[in-house]
Parts: sequence; C-alpha cells; structure tokens
Amino acid sequence: MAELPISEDSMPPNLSRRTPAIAWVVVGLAVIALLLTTDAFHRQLGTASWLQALWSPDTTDMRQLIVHFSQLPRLAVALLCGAALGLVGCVLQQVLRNPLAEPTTLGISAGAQLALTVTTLYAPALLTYGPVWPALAGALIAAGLVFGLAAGRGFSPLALILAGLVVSLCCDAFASVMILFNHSFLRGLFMWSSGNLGQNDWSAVYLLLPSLLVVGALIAPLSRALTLFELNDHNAHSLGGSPSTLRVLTLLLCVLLAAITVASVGVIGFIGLATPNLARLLGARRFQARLIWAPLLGAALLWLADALVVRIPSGYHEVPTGTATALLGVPLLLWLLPKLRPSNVAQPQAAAARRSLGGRQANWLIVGCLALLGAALVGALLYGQGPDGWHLSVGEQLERLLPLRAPRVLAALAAGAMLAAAGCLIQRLTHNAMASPEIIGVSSGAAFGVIALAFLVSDPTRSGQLLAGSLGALAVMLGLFALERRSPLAAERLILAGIALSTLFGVLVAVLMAVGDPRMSGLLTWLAGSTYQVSLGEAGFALLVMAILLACLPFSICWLALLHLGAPQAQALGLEVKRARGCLLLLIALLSGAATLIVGPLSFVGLMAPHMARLLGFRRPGRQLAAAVVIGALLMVLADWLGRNLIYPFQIPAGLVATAIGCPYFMWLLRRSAT
Amino acid sequence: MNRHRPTDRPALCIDRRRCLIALAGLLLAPRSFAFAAPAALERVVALDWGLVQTLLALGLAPIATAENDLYRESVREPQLPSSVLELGLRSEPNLELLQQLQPELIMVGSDQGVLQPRLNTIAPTEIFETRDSGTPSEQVAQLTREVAARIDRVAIGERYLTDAWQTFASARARCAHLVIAPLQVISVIDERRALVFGQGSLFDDVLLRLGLRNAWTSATNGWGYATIGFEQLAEQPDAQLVYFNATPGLEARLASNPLWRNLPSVRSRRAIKLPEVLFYGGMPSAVSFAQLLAERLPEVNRG
Repeated sequence: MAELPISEDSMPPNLSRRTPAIAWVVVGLAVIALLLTTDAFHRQLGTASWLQALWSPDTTDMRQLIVHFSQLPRLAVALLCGAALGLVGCVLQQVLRNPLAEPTTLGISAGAQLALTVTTLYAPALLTYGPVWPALAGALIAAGLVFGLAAGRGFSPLALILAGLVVSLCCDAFASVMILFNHSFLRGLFMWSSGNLGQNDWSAVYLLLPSLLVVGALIAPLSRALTLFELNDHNAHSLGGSPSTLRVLTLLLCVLLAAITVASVGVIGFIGLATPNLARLLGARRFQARLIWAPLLGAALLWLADALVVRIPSGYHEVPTGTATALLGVPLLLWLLPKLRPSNVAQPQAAAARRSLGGRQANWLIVGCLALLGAALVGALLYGQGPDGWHLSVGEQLERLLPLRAPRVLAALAAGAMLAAAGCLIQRLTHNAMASPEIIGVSSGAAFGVIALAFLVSDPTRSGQLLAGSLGALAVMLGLFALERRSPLAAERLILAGIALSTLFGVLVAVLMAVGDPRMSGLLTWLAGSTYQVSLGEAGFALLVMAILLACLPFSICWLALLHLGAPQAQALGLEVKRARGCLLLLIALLSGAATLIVGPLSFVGLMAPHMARLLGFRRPGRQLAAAVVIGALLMVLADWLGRNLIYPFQIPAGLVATAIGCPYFMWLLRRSAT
Repeated sequence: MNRHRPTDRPALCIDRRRCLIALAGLLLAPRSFAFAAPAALERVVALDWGLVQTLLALGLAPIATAENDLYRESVREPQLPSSVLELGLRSEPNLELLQQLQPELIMVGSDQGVLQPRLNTIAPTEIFETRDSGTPSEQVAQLTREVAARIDRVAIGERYLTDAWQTFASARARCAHLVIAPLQVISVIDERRALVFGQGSLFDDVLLRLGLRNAWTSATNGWGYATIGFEQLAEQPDAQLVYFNATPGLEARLASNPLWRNLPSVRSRRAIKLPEVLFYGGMPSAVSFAQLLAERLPEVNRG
C-alpha cells in the first residue's frame, strides 16, 4: 500500500521517537494481505495480461472479467470501507464520550435494513438503481429521527446514544416481523446484513471513494476542536467551545459516511467499534493519533479479513467478510481487554428524570402497576381471538384452552420480570445506560448452544435444546468469572467483552440465515422472543427460579449503592468489593440466562424497563428495581397477548411485540423528559 | 387391509376409528405409521410443504396447512384449494386453532420434530422423513408411498409414482437428441449472488434422470445447494444457465450487472428462466422441474 508507512511529521510528537506498536501491526497486516491478494490475482490471470485486466478487460475472456469486475473492486471496497468505518468509529467514540459507540449506534444500520426489507417486499421498483439508494434513505431517516429525539436535550451524548439505541431496536423489530413472515424472499437481505463484500462492478467504489475523501477532508481541520470532548460539556463551553454545535456538525458528517458505507456493503460489524479501541490499546493514546491510525488499521484489517475469506475452503457457502472481521477481531479484543486502562472518556450516566417521586407516591404507583399486571394476566388467559373472532372463554372451553395459554402467559411474566431485574442491575453496576442483560454475553452463550445443537443433531428435542442452551450460558459465565478473577473487570471491559460476544453471535445468526438453511426457520421465532415452545412444567420452573432470584435482590441494593461511590470508598465502608461484584455478576448471569432459555435472547425488556421506571420517577435503586420488575413483567405479558391475537392465526413473538410497542412509548418518554 | 369409501361409513364407526387412531398415535412410537390403523383419514393437517404437495398429489386436501399464501406464491403446484384453513407459521402453527379443528392426524416433516410432543397432546402427530441422505428422487418417492399408506390410498400413490417416472422418461426422450452443455441450475438471490444446486439436491437428481449433466460438482450443503457469487458461475464458461428468479424487479438489475451480462449463456441468449419450483419439495416438485426443462430446453438448444 502506498500510504504506508505514515510519514514522521504526521505522527503526534509523543509517539514519533519510537515507532508505536500500532504501526507495526498495521504494516504487518497490510503485508500479509498484499501477499494474499497478489497470489489471488496471479492464480486467476497467470503472468499474462495483468494491465489489460486491470484497465480494459477483454469481455470474452472470463478470467479478465472476473478480475476487473469482481476481485479488483472488491479489494478497493474492502480498503475504503475499513477506513471509513475506522474513521467514523473513532470520531463517534470521541464525540459521544463512549468507547462503545460505533457506526451502528445512531440507528444507521437498522434504518437501512428496515428500508431494504420494506422495499424488497413492497416496493421493488425502488430498487431499480440498486439497493444503495433505499438503504441510504433509510439510514438517513433513522439518523434524523435520532437527532430529532436528542435535540431537546442539547444533543447530549447520552440522549443521542439512547435515542440511537431505541430507534435501532424499533427498526429491527419491525424488520424482524417482516422477515419472519417472508424469510424465503429475503435471502439477499441476510447476505447484506452478514456483510458480504462481493462486487460485480465499480459502482460501490465510485460512491465510497469521494465520500471518504470529502468527509475525511472536512473532519481533519476539526480534529483539534474535537479533543475538547475529552472534557465534559460544561468545561468545554467555558473554554470557549460550543460542544453541541460541533457535535451536531461532526455527527452529521459521520452519519453520512457511515450510511453510505452501510448502504453499499451491508453491515460489517466490529471494525468501527474495535479499531479505535485497538488503536488506543496499541499506543495511540491521543485522539489526533487515533484519527490517523484507526482508519489505517480499519483498512488493513478489513483487507486482510477479506483476502483470507476468499481463500477459506468453505465448501458450500462463502464466509461473509463481516463474519471474518468479527472472528478475527473478537479474540483480539478479548486478549487486549486486561491491558485497557480506564479511559478518561466519560461513561454516560443514567439521565436524571425531571421529576422524582416521593416515597408514598412511588409506593402507590408500584401498587397501581401491580394491579395492572394482575388485570393483564387475567385478560391474557381469558380473552382472545378464535376462529369466530374475539371471544371470552369461560367454563369448559377455558379448561381446554388453559393448558395452551397458561404456559405462555406465565413464561412471559417470568421472563419479563427477570430481564428487567438483570437490566436494572447491570446498568447500575456498569454505570452505563446502554447496558442490557445480553451485554454480559450470557444470552449469546445460551443461543450459541441452541443453534449449535440444531446443526449437530438432526432432530433436536426441546429438552436437548434447553440443556444445550444452559451449557452455552454456563460456558460464558465461567469464562466471565475467569476474566474477573484474573483482573477485576472494570465496567468498560466487562461491556466490551459482552459486546464482542454479542457481535459474534449476531454475525453467526446472519450467516445461518443467509445460508438459507431450512433449520433456521424453526429457530427464528425463538430468537425473536417467542413463548410458543414453553410447556406448563417449564413455565412453573421459570416462575420458581424467578421467585428465588428476585428474593436475592434486596441484598444487592445496598451493595449497588455502595459500589456507586467507587471501589475504594466502598472498601472503606466495609464492603468486600470483589466478592460483592462477583455476586452481582452471578445474579445478573442467572437472571438473564434463565430468561433466555424461556424466551430467547431478545432482551429489549431488560434494556428498557429500567429506563421506563426511571423516567416515571423511580430514582432510588430499590424503588427503581421494584418498578422495573413490575413494568418488565407487564410489558411481556401484554406483548405475548398481542402477539397471539394481532394477526390471528399467525403469531408474532412476544419479544418483537414488546420492542415494537415499547420503543415508541420510550421515544415519547424521552421527548417528554427533555421538555 | 380393507379400504372403505368415505361415503358408506356409518357415523358410529368413525368414532371407533378415531379412537383407534388416537390410541395408535399415543401408544406407538412416532415413526411407526406402518402399523397404524388401516383407515381412510379425512381430517388431516400437514405442516410441511413437501407433505402438503404429496397429499394434494394423492387427491386428499388437508383441512388446514401453514403459510397458505406463501405456498400459493412460491410452491404453486399442486394447487392448494381455497377451502384449506390457515394455521400460521410453519414453525409455530396455532395450537388453539388446531385444538378447535380436532384433526384425525397431524403430519409434520423431519425438521419439525421439535413440535411433535406439543402437537401430540392435541391430535395424533406423526413425523415423516422429508430429508435424509438417500437419492433425492427415491426419497420423495418413498415419502409418497409412506403418505399414501398412511391415508390408505396406496393404489393412488402407486399410480401417481408410475406417472411420475413416465414423465421423467418422456422428458428424457425429448432432450435426448439435443446438444446440451452441462447445466448450472441456480436460484438468484440478489444482484450479485445465487444458490446453485448440486450433488444431493432434488434438481441434480432430476437432471441425472433426464440424462443431463450438472455443471456444479463442488461441495453442497445438506439440501444439496451452495451459496455463490456470480463470479463463480463465470468460472465455468462452457455451462448453460437455468435460473429461478422470483424477486420482482431483480431481472432489470441483473441486466445491468457486467458479470451477469457477459456470462456466455446469457450473452448468447441461451440462459433459461423458470417459474419458481420448491427445491425442498416432494415428488410434485421433481415432476414440475422435469416438465419445465423438457419444455424449455428444446426451445433454445437445437439438435
């Protein structure tokens, strides 16, 4: 590559004396990738006609056509996308003050995917000029919505991140419902979401190259101003900066570049999240250094990943590059995690609700929620659609329906309550508003287990699935504790580890969907949070587990309050920090593992219920936890009932319904609390 | 095995039979349909499209199936009567509705085995082997025989199979005098990629029976297909393309793809586009595919 190595003067002064580790890594990756690429071209063309194939291929020579219209643009796209994702990730993490921010944070991928799903199914005419344009429109609309939601709070990082998360979840839920009922038509979409870099012409390059150059050129002069974001908004303001104007400006540029990248090649996970973090770990401590190294590392990493992918003797399915980046990057990140120093980048604290409830008010509100939950339970058991329309079932009819309905209602209740509790605990433990139960990777572990079983055994049974799921969850849990034992996991590390696992899992699912294996259609509903498979015995067991685990919650509240003060202070006040953290982690793992086994790994409720409780005015840990549990249970019971009846006899999985109805409500709460 | 016509059965008898069937379903192991009650069933539910196709081919319309609209759109043959009720998704058929319908038998495919314990509490549920490692056409024939035996239409089943083998033979005869290159049978996914059918797929087996060669000899998955980019099609310049493309609007985008446009058989207008055929279907899918090939191949390939 021509731009390597970087000239001395562009390096930050503190690094120029000795070459930082990152330079060696980038050069190393690029050299291996170059060798692989040269070999691939050589295999296709031999020694002859390289120049002709590169510039003006002979249209009757298939080998030249393949090099010119497939291999070459693919190489260019890999380099451009890697650089774009690295750049966007680096800037987003700085501006949003969150090392977990990545190009998908602002709803871009989800918006693009929803737009593609809708156009593929309902308006294929819009795809005439390629999927790029509808995807781009979807990405920009989603990002616009995120900005609109965050505007009321002066575009604060937390508001943007939360809004992005909610918009993503909402788009994902609607897309998932459509996918569930049309998955055989949407193979192309799954290919897109698993991040396949295959090209058949130069159109993606013509779009990406100018976008990257323009956005890069516009961001470069802002780089000094952007270092201001290492301070908080208030201090930045007093130094004469205007954080929210600057933030909106840079975010707009990022959104544009990310949207174009996602629209042209699909979801390439991990690069945007990992490269800035890796760059920091490998010695690029200053933002301006990262701004140079993260894109270079991204380009080199994606190039190498793609060069490797095309050589994998994968048999019947080419491994999408997005998968490979996740496979390469996740172990790398996990290995580097213990070396991650606590950054001076602030974690988003949970936003304070405008009004806080007094003790008596709060108690009455919880009682009210409980009464609602009771009513919902009875309604969900008695009332529903039948072949002759809506029907209230009593007496003998109810007796026959109850064995079919009760397990689902009870499972929804138990799962909702457990996920909400787990979410509340993890958000308080990590001080990160984006944290949700799946963040510790236990749900991914369980889902891994179930999917692995489906592919190892030809006809898996329900009990086999539960066992495999438990084993998967257990494996992740053990891994987590091993990590924690070695060096107590800072909140940031814990979350990065969890996200790494979830990324890997998400990619795996996308690949399996893309392969179009008929076995996946059966797992699809479980992955979307369906209570269909739950038996009465399982539901009873879930309720028992819920009761036991919820009974442990009161003990955790005091620890949470102490840990909130910071480890040294908590230690001084007599708390065995390590043990307390271990116990809390175990509790979270058990709660989310149990819930995943019943309703699958979609844990929207776990993310949202704590926020809803807080925005309703429950602020103290104990009350928030109690309110979140009740809200979580209520949400899931309602979602399950709606899912069974909305489009009878078809059924929509409860997890998806909860997301689809919960998100707009949550958006409304976000708006309201801002004004 | 005595066979009864549905019309001359007294009502009482049905009840006894139902009991027997229910007992048989409860007592006997799932795949023991060979021993099941020798009665002509009428209220049958099938949850796998291959089974639905087979039932319809044998002249028995199930009372309810799953994802009917999608079946009518993407499986097409044999046609599903409008009287057939909708049960919802194939992976999650509506249990409350099934309970109200009270079928005599619920048939599920081997991929739906996980549903069986649940369904069995509602009505006798049997798993049929819709996928194994054997020769695909033999396997769909065996499935036809098993279904025919289970619904007591053995003679109809044998007649249907004889007709099917006859269809293959006459299709083979129609193609015999043609000069045909090895065929690439693909289903287009989007503007860059396709599923290609090879060893182990029903389509590959039909090609073999028709005396045609399949160009795709590389590895395939459990259903006999592989997911590939068009550049892999381009690596077999001598092959003739046979493709399915049900995605609306995709045809125009293919035409603007330089690799696709320059594939030799597309360029020489010998690429054949076929209407959708279910690749994991039953014998009716195999018959449809053979008929379509015998119709279209002589149009573009001269002897």
